[in-house]
Amino acid sequence: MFKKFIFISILCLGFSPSLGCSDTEVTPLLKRLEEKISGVKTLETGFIQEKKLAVFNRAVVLEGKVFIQEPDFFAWHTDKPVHYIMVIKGDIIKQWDEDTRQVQSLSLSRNPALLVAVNQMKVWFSGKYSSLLKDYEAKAISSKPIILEFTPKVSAEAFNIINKVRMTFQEDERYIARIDIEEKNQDSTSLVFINTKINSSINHSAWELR
Amino acid sequence: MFDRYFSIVSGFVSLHKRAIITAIVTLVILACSGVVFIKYDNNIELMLPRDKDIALSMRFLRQSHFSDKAIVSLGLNSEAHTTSDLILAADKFCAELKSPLITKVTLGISGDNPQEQIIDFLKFAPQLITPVELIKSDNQLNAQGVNAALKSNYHKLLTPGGTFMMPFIRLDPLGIKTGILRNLSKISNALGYNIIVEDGHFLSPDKRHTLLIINTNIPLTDGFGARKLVNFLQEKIKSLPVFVSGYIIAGHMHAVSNEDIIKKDIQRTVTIAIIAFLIVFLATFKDLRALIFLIIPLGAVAIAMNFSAFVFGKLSYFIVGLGAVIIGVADDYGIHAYVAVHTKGRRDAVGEIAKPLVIAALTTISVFATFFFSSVKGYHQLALFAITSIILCLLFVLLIFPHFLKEHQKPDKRLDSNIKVQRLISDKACIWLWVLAMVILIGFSLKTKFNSDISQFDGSKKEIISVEEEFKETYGRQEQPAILVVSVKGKENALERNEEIYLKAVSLVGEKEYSTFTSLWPSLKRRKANVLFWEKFWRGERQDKLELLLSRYSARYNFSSEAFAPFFANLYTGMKIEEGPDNLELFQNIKERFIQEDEGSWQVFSFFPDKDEFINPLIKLSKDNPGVFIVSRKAFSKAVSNSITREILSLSFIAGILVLILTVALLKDIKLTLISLLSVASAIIAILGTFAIFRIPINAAAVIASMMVVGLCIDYGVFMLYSFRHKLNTGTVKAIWVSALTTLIGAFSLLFAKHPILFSIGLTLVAGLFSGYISSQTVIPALYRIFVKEKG
Repeated sequence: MFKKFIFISILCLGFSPSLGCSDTEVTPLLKRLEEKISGVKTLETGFIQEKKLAVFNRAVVLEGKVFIQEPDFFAWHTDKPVHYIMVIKGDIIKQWDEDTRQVQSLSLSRNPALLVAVNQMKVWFSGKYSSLLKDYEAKAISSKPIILEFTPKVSAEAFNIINKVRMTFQEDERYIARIDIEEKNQDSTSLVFINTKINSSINHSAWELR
Repeated sequence: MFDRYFSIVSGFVSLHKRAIITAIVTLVILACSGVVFIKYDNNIELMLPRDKDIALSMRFLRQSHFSDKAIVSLGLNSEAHTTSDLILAADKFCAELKSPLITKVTLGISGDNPQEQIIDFLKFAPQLITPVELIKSDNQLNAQGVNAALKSNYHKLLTPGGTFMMPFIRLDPLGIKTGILRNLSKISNALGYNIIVEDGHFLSPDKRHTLLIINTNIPLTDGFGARKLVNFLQEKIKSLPVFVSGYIIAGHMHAVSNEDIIKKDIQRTVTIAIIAFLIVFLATFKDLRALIFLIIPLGAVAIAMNFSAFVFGKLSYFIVGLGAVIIGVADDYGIHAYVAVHTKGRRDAVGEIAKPLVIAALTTISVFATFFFSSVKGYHQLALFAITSIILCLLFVLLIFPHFLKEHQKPDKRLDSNIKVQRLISDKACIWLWVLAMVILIGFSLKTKFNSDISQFDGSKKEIISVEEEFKETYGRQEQPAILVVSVKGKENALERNEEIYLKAVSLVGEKEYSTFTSLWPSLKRRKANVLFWEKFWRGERQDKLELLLSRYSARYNFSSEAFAPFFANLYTGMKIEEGPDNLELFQNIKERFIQEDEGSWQVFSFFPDKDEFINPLIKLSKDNPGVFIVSRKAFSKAVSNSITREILSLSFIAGILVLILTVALLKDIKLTLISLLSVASAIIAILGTFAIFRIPINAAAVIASMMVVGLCIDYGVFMLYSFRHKLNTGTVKAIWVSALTTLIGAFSLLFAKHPILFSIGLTLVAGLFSGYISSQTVIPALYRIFVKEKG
């Protein structure tokens, strides 16, 4: 479940946690993607996230923005259906929500679960996929655009939780365009990135909480 | 009477000279060979006073799970490699740790992952949630409370961390079990490390390091075993892949390092001292027979070491480290005898100085003998070692040594001396200069500080200390917490007692920073009461009410009708008192850190910051409650400091009385006795002043060394005054000069020691002996001439 949390949290954040590929045909492709994504120093992208959870009667659609500035800044803004902001600067994670209208500050090192998620993100954006190849089988579904499908190996802790993860890359292969996750319990999440700006300057307000 | 007995014994030795010398030489050879087989001990407990609080702390540290573990931290040293590579390397390393020295290796938490384990633990909520907490949640069992909880849960699930929270929300929609999670988090952080678990491995927050906890059956006090363990682990670390580096964190590293450093110190100081002794003897006396000055104390020290080891079983390295000083002290008698024989040109001149030599030896012996009244076991060893060396040396010098000396037809005038030789300046000027020097040193000595921290006994290499700092930084280690230990027979009794103490403790220091096991897992009695109340609380009306409220308002927040089914499905699970979470590794790991069995008693630990505002009230609490004690670095230092102060006061008093009696017995004059004590006063003031000047805090070892200084410096004063009084022409000034010089050399050699304790002893001896010697040669003769001789 912990692994599941990490996995799904990261996917919910818009990033795949654990890419693995024993298929030698996919390996060069992964390497190529690694190289391209490693050039991302700043990122500003809108997202539309659809959550189909067993606990919900209907799918929930969230809209918002993600900001990333290497090496330590990360922000997640949700505008619909609720206002929520999460900003990570180094070891500190701050959250604001419209319910409490208060800023909650936590140390990442004191919250291992969140820390793991954040570290996983860092691995993804640094383009070091090779570190994540242990637990998943990978195959290419399409080459234009590139769509990769990852299925947990039987030995992986995620095997009992995740059915598959499908990642669709942008035409220029510099970033992910869409992620779809299917869980074994029929929950699913899809995340579509829109208006993605890579390596452009990010407004300071992105790192501020209301 | 003394002279009569001395001549009888001397005559007997003279008759059986050959047989006695052969026997002694044989004994010395055997003793030198025996030194190799002596068992040595570097246990610092030998150097600590016997005090209830200190003993409890030391026993706890010795027997607790903290001391039988070593940690190996592995880190990536290449950016090109990832956490997965590190984990693979750690697994391989772990697989290779096959040795009878190692009983268990823990890489992390295997089996079910932590989140599942937390959820399983929450199922024991009926046993864990108190009636007070439940009554509080009663306020939420209405439309407003349930609506607020559902809204909050809905919003939480839409956050990036929502997926993590989902199983908890389903199991506990009203947040009734939040207190358990809070306690779990608090207790997990109590030891102050930030460690994450991934893929069943303990990782640092940056995931570039992993650690392995190694259980060993080698106690810290087993120097040989500790060395084998450290060597084994270091060999395995060497075989790690190039991109992984590793280091060991363990008390065993300190034990081995201290032993190495003290061994090297002993070799270094003894070599320096022997070379310096030879130079001094040969340069001063220009006679190869003077070498015997060195052979006599060396032989005496070798025999004394064997004898002390025979009595105590093992010898402390700290005590053996003082060997050079003991040689320096013990050779004084030979010097006096040599100078007397050469000054007079006759062997029987030894008889003339036999009495002051014996008295001088007795004053030194009396100081060492007071150490037998100390509760510090190491001091008993020091006392026996030093006294045996001194007695043997004195006997050899008085009875054997003269037979090796050549009689001269003409007395050696170079060695003769008298009071006039010393008069470089006027006596009054000399006294005023001495007063000025003492006033300045007293001024400095007001700034002297006392250090009672036990860590000063640790002379481990800098590399060990620096990797420990690195370890703290890597794993986010905060200040080491203090521990309150409740020790009672029977596990449940201990848990119940801990609950009582917990209530008292938090009333004194608050609960925010006080972590205890029973706040997570209460005693059987408390859990039974909780279960009874839980069932009474939920069965019937409240359960139905909550089901109704949730089904009525869930849809408003998009929750399905089954969203909170896990809450109701688990409402009455975990109620069987006899069933506990022992199968959960997470719980086991916590339990292992907070509770342990110690020879039939159970000890429950509570952790809190090692700060005065916590320590002071909790020490008072522990004093008022039998079976409760505090293990804290600060409290330990305080206990050591208090105990040492008590010891020093009583030992100084005994030593002072003995020295005074012996001095009066020899000098038979109160005025002379008071004058002779000036060398002692000078020495003590100089020691305090010197430590202050060098900004080095004085410590227990230095205080004990000061007492040695007292025993030696009184000799200088006594010898001078005795020779003045009896108008001896036995080269006293020269003899005192050479004997002080050799003792100083022995002490000076300790200044080359790397171990902080040996160094502080060296500094004490050098400052004290130098000052005591100078005053015996300057101010004491001046005072004698002004107040005794000239008036006489």
